[in-house]
Amino acid sequence: MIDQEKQQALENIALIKDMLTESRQELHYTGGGWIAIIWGLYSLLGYAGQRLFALARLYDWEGLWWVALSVPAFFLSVLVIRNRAKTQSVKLRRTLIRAFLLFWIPLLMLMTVLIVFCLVLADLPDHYLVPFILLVVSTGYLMLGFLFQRSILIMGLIGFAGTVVVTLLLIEQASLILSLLFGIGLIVTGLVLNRKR
Amino acid sequence: MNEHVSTQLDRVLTQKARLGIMSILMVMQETDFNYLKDKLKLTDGNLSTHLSLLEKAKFIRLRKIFVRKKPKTLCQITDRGRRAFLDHMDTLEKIIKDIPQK
Repeated sequence: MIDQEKQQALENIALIKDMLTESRQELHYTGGGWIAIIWGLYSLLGYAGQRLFALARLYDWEGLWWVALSVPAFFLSVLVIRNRAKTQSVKLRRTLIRAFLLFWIPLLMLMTVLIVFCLVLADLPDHYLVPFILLVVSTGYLMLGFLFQRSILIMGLIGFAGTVVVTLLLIEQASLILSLLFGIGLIVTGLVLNRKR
Repeated sequence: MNEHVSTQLDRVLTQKARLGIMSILMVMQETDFNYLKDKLKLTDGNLSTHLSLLEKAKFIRLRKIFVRKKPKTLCQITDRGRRAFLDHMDTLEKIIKDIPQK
């Protein structure tokens, strides 16, 4: 009888533990995996498009292609977040709104700044375009990281340092290397995040 | 002593499905019917019965909303439910600690 009671209590505690852990994981999963995959593809498609426009001698379109591509990427990210908010959990919605504000609003603002820069710096050499975009995005994450979250700060640091090193050492191939590194890096991160979930 | 401790367990929460519902709501605070159904692998009828019992004990609050013209049942944990859950956990821990190992 006593053993049975103890056994039941242990089973109940185990059930509670499982449910709490699972719910906490669910709560902290903001769909970041899919969002990383979207922006990884953005990086790869962005570079491929830029090269195609360069080959077609449509140089004005190179910078604008990145901006145009950021629109569907942004809306797909919003869609992922909206899908996650379906559970109607008050707490989850708060986490998602925070994630949305921290990542995507500043990114959109940076993209807007880029449009202006691309138009003003029309004579910026081709091979500086990708490093320039990544430096602006990384700076945004650095600033946000200082204010809000260490993981964003680390992301900004890696992005910034990686871009500077590749640009200084291998400027001719910098666009290709950085697009591949950022693109594949984000896709792999996304797949890992989705698997960990 | 052991029997005394076990009588302190809240009878509403001794059932596993209801304990599962309360555990999820302790973290999520508020969530919808379908989410609970998926997570706990319960049928509509079964989950409804458990939710009604929890609502009757005033451990949760149920409300219906319409999302794109479709009805949605939201379940929210109450302060009383939160306290009952924590007390229930304390009692479970006491049972485990109080009963001497063989």
